[in-house]
Amino acid sequence: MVSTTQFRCGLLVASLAVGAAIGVAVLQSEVAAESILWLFLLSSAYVAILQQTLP
Amino acid sequence: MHRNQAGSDWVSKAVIFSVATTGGGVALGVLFGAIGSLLPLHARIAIASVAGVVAVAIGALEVANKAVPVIQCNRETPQQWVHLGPLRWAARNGLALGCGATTRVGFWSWYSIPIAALLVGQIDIAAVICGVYGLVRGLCAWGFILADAVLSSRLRLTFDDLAVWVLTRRPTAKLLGAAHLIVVGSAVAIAAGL
Repeated sequence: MVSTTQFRCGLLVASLAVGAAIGVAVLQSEVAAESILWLFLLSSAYVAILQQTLP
Repeated sequence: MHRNQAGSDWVSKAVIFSVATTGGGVALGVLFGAIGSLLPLHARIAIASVAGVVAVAIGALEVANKAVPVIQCNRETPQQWVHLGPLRWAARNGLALGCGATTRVGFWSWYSIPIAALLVGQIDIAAVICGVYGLVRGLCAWGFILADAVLSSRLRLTFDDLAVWVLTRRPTAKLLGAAHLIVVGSAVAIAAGL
């Protein structure tokens, strides 16, 4: 069974790894501006969905 | 949408609400895109680096269950707007929620949206980024309407049951928001060359 601490550590490491992978991919991309734009667009939609939990 | 639902047409309100949230988002994008367009590229890259590192730091603290209070207008849209009538209420509420800044934002992740609009440095693209945010906030109202119809007919649950279920998912949403902040922050910081 995974403890809460282990889960949170895993989430932190996984998030950093995903973010770093995206950052490196954007850097190496020939269309870096478009790549980062897609990240921003998805990010905006994601935040809007998270905010549905606000009272 | 919940507190002003009685006795009026859901569809009209939802359409106006969705259009207004998108408009509010676009307005936010135009504002930050215009500010960003005034900044030289090296300044925007510097902002991206700093914002990325700060985002990772805040996200890491939140994942570690050390909540960092969100800087925000900690309020809902004014209650008296309900008395303006359902359609005007939907329009005003939509504009306020689509913009986001004048009401409770709840998540540090929200700041990634205006900062992204600032960093792109182009008004039209910034308007699209924030417009997507507003559009999705508006579309969520349709999601609630559809979910309400399905749940009430198949599971005999009410809109209030659904609303309570969504509200009680907040701790999970906070964690997902923190993870999102780390992902976006580290990606932006690396892409900006730190």
